[in-house]
Order: sequence, then structure tokens, then C-alpha cells
Amino acid sequence: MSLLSLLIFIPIVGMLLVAVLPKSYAPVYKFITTGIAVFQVLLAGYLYAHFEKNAVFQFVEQTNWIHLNIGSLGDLQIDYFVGMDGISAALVLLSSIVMLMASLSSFEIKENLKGYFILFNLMNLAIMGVFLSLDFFLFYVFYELMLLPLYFLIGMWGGANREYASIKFFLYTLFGSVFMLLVMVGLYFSVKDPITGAHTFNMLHMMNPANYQADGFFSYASNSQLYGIPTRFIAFIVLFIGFAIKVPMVPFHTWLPDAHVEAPTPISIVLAGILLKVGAYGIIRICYGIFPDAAIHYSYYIGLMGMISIIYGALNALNAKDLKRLIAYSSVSHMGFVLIGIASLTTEGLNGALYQLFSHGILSTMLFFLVGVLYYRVQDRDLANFRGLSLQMPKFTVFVVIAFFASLGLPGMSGFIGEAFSLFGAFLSESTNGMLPRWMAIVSTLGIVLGAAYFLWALQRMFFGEKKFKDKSWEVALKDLTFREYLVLIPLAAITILLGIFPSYLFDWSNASVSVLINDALVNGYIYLHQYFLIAS
Amino acid sequence: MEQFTQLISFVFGSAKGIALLLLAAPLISFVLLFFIKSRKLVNLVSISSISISLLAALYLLKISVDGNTFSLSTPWLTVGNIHIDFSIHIDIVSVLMLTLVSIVAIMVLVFSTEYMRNESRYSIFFGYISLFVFAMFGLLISRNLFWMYLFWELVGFCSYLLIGFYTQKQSAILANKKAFIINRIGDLGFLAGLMLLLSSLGTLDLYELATRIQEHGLFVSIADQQLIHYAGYAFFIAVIAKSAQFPLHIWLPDAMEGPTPVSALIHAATMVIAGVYLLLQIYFLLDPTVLNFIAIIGSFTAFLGAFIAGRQYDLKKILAYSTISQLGYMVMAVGVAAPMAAFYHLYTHAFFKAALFLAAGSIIHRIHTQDIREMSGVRRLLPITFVVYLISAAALVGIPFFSGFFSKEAILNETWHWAQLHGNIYLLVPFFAFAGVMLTAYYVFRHVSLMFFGEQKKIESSIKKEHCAISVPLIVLSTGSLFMYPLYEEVHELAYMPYITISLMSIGFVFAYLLIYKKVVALLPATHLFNRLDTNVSSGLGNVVVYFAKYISWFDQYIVDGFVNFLGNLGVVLSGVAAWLDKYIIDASVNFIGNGTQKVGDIVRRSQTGKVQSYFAFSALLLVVIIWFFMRGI
Repeated sequence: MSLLSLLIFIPIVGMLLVAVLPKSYAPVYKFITTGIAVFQVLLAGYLYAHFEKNAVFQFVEQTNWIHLNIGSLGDLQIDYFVGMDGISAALVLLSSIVMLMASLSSFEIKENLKGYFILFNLMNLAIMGVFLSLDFFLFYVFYELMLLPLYFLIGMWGGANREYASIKFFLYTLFGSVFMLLVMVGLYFSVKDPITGAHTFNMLHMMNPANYQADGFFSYASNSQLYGIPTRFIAFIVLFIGFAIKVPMVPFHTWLPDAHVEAPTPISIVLAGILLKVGAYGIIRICYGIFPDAAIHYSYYIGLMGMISIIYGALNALNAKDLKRLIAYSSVSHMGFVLIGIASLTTEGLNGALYQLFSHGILSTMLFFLVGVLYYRVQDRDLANFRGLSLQMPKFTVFVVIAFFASLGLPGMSGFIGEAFSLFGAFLSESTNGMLPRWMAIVSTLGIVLGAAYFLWALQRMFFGEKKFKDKSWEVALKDLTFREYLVLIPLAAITILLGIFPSYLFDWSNASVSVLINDALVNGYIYLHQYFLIAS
Repeated sequence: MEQFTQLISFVFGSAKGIALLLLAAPLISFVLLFFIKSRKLVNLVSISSISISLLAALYLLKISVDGNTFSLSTPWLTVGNIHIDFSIHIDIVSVLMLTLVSIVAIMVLVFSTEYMRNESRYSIFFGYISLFVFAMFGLLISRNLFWMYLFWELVGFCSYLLIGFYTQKQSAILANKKAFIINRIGDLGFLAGLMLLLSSLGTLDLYELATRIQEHGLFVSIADQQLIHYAGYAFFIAVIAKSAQFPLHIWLPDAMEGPTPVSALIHAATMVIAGVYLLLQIYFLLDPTVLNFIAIIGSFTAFLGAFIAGRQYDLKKILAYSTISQLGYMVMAVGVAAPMAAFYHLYTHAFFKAALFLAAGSIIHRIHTQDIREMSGVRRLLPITFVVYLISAAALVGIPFFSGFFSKEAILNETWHWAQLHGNIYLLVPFFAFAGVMLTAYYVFRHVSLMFFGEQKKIESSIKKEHCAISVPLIVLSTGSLFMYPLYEEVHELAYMPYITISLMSIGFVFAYLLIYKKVVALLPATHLFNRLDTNVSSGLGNVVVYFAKYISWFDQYIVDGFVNFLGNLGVVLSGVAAWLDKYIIDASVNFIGNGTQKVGDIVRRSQTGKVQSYFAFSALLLVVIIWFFMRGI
């Protein structure tokens, strides 16, 4: 078994152990899960360290999975095909770190431990699979597999309004996946494996225009249309909306505040730390990788929506009364930078977007964990109910200050590099490829001021000033950090500061793959667009 | 071990190593202070680390005084076509600045050992100061604008921490938030400037920028020239915020809520001049149109700050507005194409303003008030402070033979020369500058006389005179106000300039004397003439001055500050609207789709009655519809 498969399937061991061990061993479940997560961090770290920076796909593993002869339609060929490139390398590392922190945070879960940890491990498996699959079918399986445990984890272990939140989350994301299934099947029948000649789900083949059949539904040459719009454009839009819901992009974001507010702390961490990244990863790998023509065509609007998300999310965060809701909206704002970076179709912008994904993963984990610390102690997180927390919990406040300032983009911490390079890319776009006008980048910078405003305002209202809480008993309940909480917060704070000072530890890994992707996207995309507009005129 | 000796020989064997040592010392001190609780050890670590930096800076000064410059550069990151190196450069300007920052920082730390004596978070305070000094050093020696931006924000962050050092004080935590957010607006300018330069010249390295401008000069395309032109404005926005220029100066008076040593170090001598320093560094990028704009903003700020200072009763606010005014002079000097005059004034100002703030700290420490109406006769109580204050204030006004005289003279000469070249509306620039000179004399006379002269108020205190930790820094800094004239060779010297300024100062003094002194303190026996003057001229002209200052103050508070507050409130209102939209429009439509599906489901479900008759009726109806549909087609 190769290393990537080990990384993906090791949680099965955890699932089995938790399932087999009797209820009397319940306190051990969390240690098993954490142990698995630690192993994954080490393995992901090993893979990251041994990643060849100038090559593209590595640690590749490809075997036949499902081969069926289905009569007149030919052979059904689905491969188990996994691999890692510069785009997924950092995200895999991030996922393993976030899962470790989430499992440490799961120590607070008190009820129905067996179910919780089985689902948690299942989710872990699916997440790793999504980032490493290079076969569309496999990707789809993992993608759907990820939703199921999340639905139950929110719906059963969440807050007061959890059922509403979980169903909303499920419907929203399911909406996206249904269309993905259609596009996937359409792509399957348009693409042929150049060696075997059979139809294939291989995403790398889908990225190469030469592999498309001349008469395929989604092929470059056939110029098939639906309602006067090229089918490839429709496929792009449909997939994009599916992923944009995950990102989330305004106006498809309203599941996020509810899901975050109702979810238990570890699940909030997974949602913000990983799930949002899956959306962005899907846009980069699938939308931009397979449909570069449509990507070029729609980049302006995607950049625009990114800009709107930045401002709109920040304004909503400014108005939030609940700390968790504030952070949820700040995620909307921060993911807007990712969108604008991707839409710029420049190496700088896409690298910046990937950096922002990693940085936001670490920071949102830290932020949601910090809210969890408060909520665990007093079951409250209204901004208005706390005053002068810095006097009550000084060490906690230190980490809050680090997390807030890193999130609002203070240079020297990771948030800044991601935002800055996404914006650099967006700004350079006009003079390099003409995707986005300069004013989009300039307007987006307003998000940086608003970011400072809502974070500092929250800091001022909750943490500074005279000590005053809603309830007198809170003065006893609000104890400073415990050892386990340090164990989560110190590494996260260290990562955000180290990455802020040494950003090349991410950029050097992603640079080569991103250049290839951008180059292919521009070349292939323009070839098709020329054809299309020649036919149209 | 071998590597260790190599490191040692690198650090001490080369000027570059010395420069890195200078940068590292305060950072190491910051880290160490996390673990040190003993106050003596805190003093030792923080003061000695910055002393090491000072020694390093003096060594570098010795090398670079002959015109040697050197730089160090290591690759930091490469993304697409953007290459950013970590690079430092040492030339005479940056070394002089390093020396200045280390001297003021040491003095402020020594002062703080006494001033912050009763503070429980003593080591944290010294740690923050160390971090600030590190960031300031970094800002000064960065050769790459990207790194400069990093340190630019880091000094702002330290300023945020230190303004809000008294975390329980509501006004302080409001002030630090305000300061950070307003500086954030400036940061947008900086960021936009970086993007514009990347887009036009493709680099952020100051040396490369300079060579590209020189070599390509005429070959830079029109479009790129336009971008560079905008970059000038963009960077100036950053300067406006950081160096407290109109209209973003409003954060600086509020920043006085921080401890007084912080005001001396950060909000008078070092951080606020970062903007002027940035202008000096990117001077070659600024075209004449941008420079003219800079000159206008600077001169108006110089005037406005001096005017408002004349109305204040809070000692630290007076000094804050005075700083705004003096920063205006520096910015104006850059605008009138006299960057070295700006640098000269920056240097002299740092010393006398730091001395003034520390002296103010000495007073506040002793009598626990900042209101100058509650002070009088302080000169007997704090004699050393009094002398220091007088010397530094004389330098501030620009009285001959004090440092401020020479630097301000240089600026005024250049401004006058520039204005004569430009003519027209640009004559307003020297007008504001000269008016500022008069007003400076006015506000200095006013508050000095109120504070130090007159009857000594009864103050119960066990301390007899200044502690040596307070008096020594004061004396050291004030000597800087005495000997600092051979730094600058004037380019456009005008013989009659001293007469103009001296007469302007005298007018300012006389106004202050008539208006304030006579009314309030009445030290000299009043003559008939003075009475007449007092009632007529002062109540006439003086009231005009007072009223106008009142209006300016009102304008400052309600229009300028109000506008910023309005923008803030607008943000809150907009966010309210956005939240409403989010909840009732976007989210509601989502819920509507959800509920709608359910409703449709309900209706369809109700039709499933199970009665054959109704099914039949339904089918018949459907058949009719279908037939009609097809018939229509025919």
C-alpha cells in the first residue's frame, strides 16, 4: 500500500477500533482518534517534506477499480487514481493539522461518543480522499461521503437550533452535488483514454483537449449548445455554483453562519478549516482545470463576486452580535480574497489564493477554537455579555490578539501574505491577461480596513475595559487556558507567525504546479474561445 | 562550534553583520522579557540591548559618514514574476535615523523606570517598547518596500498595544482602536502603491526602482508613467495617516491616552516621522504634481496644528497638535523639493519634542494632572524640568541659536524660493508656513507661562525634586536642542529670512502675552497702554484668534473627525442594512424555496385522496387539456 492510500484509509483503523471496543472503553475513543490524526500529520508532513518542488503530480497510484462491459456503451472504466501536486500538497497538510486540532477539540464532546468518533473518522477519510483523487468518480464519491457525517455531526451534537442548521447545510450542498453528477457523466462520455480508447473519469485526461471526442457533449470541437449557450459554459456554471456554495460565495453563503453557530466546536473547525477549502479546491482543480475556456469567459464575474463577498461579508461581520457569527462572516470575507485571486488567472493571484486557503484554514481553526473555549465555560458568546476579559483570562487574550491580528492581515503573520498576493494577482491581471480590471483589486482593499474594524471593535468590547460579565458566577467559571488548550493554540499561533515570516514554505511548493495550471488554462481556453467565436460569427 | 565562531566573526567582522546585530538586539530583548519578572533584570536587559544597538549604529555612522553605502540581500520569496528579497541598506540617512531612534529609545526607557514604577505590567511595557524599537529599526533599514510595509504595520501594531496599555481605561482603548483603523486607511494607500509599482516597474526594491527610473527614464511607457504618478499619491495617503497630516491627523491627539513615555518615543520622535522617512526614500518616484499636492497638504497641516494647539488646555494635547504642525513642516519641505531640509527638521524635532514630552511626563508624574489651568509655578517645583522645557520650547519656536531655528529656517527658505518659482495659488504655502511660525510662538508662550510661572499651587508630595532617572534623560535630550546646526548646507539662503521669522515670533509672543498672560496671571504691573491694548486689541484681534481657533477645533472635531466617525457609522448602518438584506431577502428567498417545495408537496399530497372517482375526474381534466393543446397546434 502506498503512502497516499495509507494517508486516506488509516482512519478506517480508528473507525473499526471505536466500533469494536465496548462502551466501557468510551474515554479511549478520543485518544484513538487523536492518535490517528497525529499519525496523519506526521505522514502528511513527511510527504510534504519529500515533495519534489519542480515536478507536478507525485506519489501517484493508479489501479483499475471498476471495469464493466455495459453493452453498446462500451467499457465502464473507473480507476482508483490518487496523486499529489503543488495545489493539493499544502491542502493535505492543512487538513491533517486541522483534523488533529478538531480531534483535540472533540475532547469536549460528552454524549454518544461511539457514534461521534466513528463519524469523525469517516469524515477524516473522505476529506483526505477529496484532495488526493485524480479520478472524477472517486472525487465525487469522497465528496459525497464527506457530507453525510457532517450532516449528522451538526444535527446530533449541535446547539439548540441544530436540526434547522443541518438540514439547511445538507440541502444547500446537495443542490450543488446533484448537478455535479450530471456534468461528470457528460464528461465521461466526451472523453476517451488515449491509450485504451475507452471512456474515462480520469481528470488529467479531461484537462487535455486532445482527449475529447469530436462529437462529445462537452467536447471542444462539437460546439454543442443548450438554449444558445455552449454546453461547456453551462457545465462550468453549474459546477461553479456547486463549489461556490461550499466556499461560500455571496449570495450562496447563508448556510454558513447557521451551520457554524449551531455546530459543536470541532465541527465548526472542520467546516471552516477544511470544507470551505474543498469548495475552492474544486473550483481550481475542476472548474478551472477542465473548463478553462469558460473560466476565462466568466473570470470577470467571479472576480466581481469575490470582491462583493469581501465587502459584504465584512459588513455583516461588523454587525454581528454573536462572536461565532462574526467569525463565520469573516470567513465569507476572507474567502472572497481566494475567489478574486483565482479569478485573476495569474500565477501570483492563484498562489496567493492557495496561500490564503492555508492561512485561513489555520486561523479559522484557531478562532473557532477560541470561541469554543469561551462557550465551553459559560455557554455564551454574545459580544455584549463580556467586558474586560483580558483581566479575567490574560493568557487566553494573548491568543485572541494573535488570531485577530493575523486574521485582519497584520504583516508578519500568514493572513497578510495571502490577502496581499491575491490582490497583487488581481491588480496585475489587467496588464498581463486582462481578466480583471484594476479597480476590483483597489475596491477589495476596503475589506482590509473593514476587517480591522470588526476585529478591533470586538476586541475592544469583549476583552478590554472594566471587567463586567452578564452573570456574577462567570468570574469563577471563566478560568484561563488548560494544558489541552495550549496544545492546540500554541502550534497554531506558531504556524501563523512562521508562515508570515517564511512564506516561501508554501509558495515554493505551489509555484510550479500553479504555473502549469495557469499556462494550460490560458492556452487551452483561448484556443477554444477562438473556435467558438469563429463559428458564432 | 566552528559554525558558532563563523557566526561571531560574521556578526562582528563586517558592517553587514553589525547591522543585523543592531536589528536583532531589541528583538532578543522582547523575547527575553516574556520570561523575566524581576524589575532590575528587565531594566538591564531592555536598556543594554538598545545600548548595543546604539553602539552598532555609531559604528555604522563612522563608516557611512564618508559617503559609504552598503547593502545586504537574500532571496525571500518568488511568486510568479514577483521576486522579493529580504534586503537592508545602510546609508548616511538611515544610519542617522538609527542613531536617533536608539538614543531616544534609551532615554525613554530610563525615564520609564521611574515613570512606570507603580505599574504591575512593568515587564510587558518594556517588552512592547523593545518590539517597537525592533520594528522601527527594520523600517529604517529595509531596502525593499514590501519589507518596509511589513515593519510599517508592525510599528503601527506596537503603537496600538502601547496606546491601549492601560487596558481598563475606556478612553485609551477607544483611542488605540481609532489609531489603528485610521492607520489602516493609510495602509491601503501603501498597498495600492505597492501594486502600482509592481504593475509598472515590476519590482519593489528601492535600488532597482531607482536604476530602472534612471536607465529607462524616457522609455517608461505613458501608461506606466501614469501608474507611477498614481503610486505617488497612493504612498502619500500612507504618509498622511502615519505622519498625522490633514485630514487623517485626528488619531494623534487621541493617542495621548497612552503612557507619556510612549507619546515621547512613538508619537513624537520616531513612529510618526516614518511617513516623512518614506517620502525621502521614494522621493525619486514623485513627480512635480504630486509634490505640489504634498506641499499644500503639509503647509496646511503645519498651520492647522499650530492653530488648534493654541486652544487646548490639556498639556499632552498641546504637544500632540504641535507635533502635527511640525510634521506638516517636514512634509511641506519634501513637497517643495527640499528633502534634506525635511530630514534636518525631522532630526532636530525628534530631540526637542521627545524632551518636551518627557518633561510633560515629569510634570504629570509629580502633580498628577494634565490640565494647564490647574498648574502654575511649576518652575519652583521641578527646576530641571523647567529649564529643559524652556530650552526645548525655544527650539520648537525656532528662536535663534537653538536647533529648531536652523532647521525651520532651512525649510522656510526653500519654501519661499519654491513659491516664487510657482507663484499664484502656491503662495498660500509659504503663507501658511509663516502663519504657523507665529502661531507656534503663540501657543508655546501661552502654555509655558501658564504652567511654569505664577503662584505655586500647594501640592502634597513626599518627592522633593526630580528623580535622576527622570532628570538625566531630560538633560541629555535637551542638549540635542542646543548643538545641532552644522548638519545642513542651505541651498537657497535668503539674508532677510531670520528677520521675518523673528518678527513673526515676536508678534506671536505679544499676542500670547496680551491675551493669556495679562488676563490670567497678571505677573507684570499693567500699564494704561497695555490695558487699552488688552481690552481693544486683544479682545478684538485676540478674540478673532480665539474664535477662529475654536472654529478650527470645532471643524476638527465635528467635520473632519465627524466625517470619519460618519464613515464609521455609515459602515455600521450599511452593515445593518446588509444584515437585514441577508436575513429577509436572501435567506428568506432560500427559505421560501424550501417552504414552497413543501407547500407544493402538500397540495399534491392532498390530491392523493385514494378515491377512484377523483382520479378519474383528474385524468379526464388532463385529457381535455392535452386535446386542447394539440388542437391549438393544428
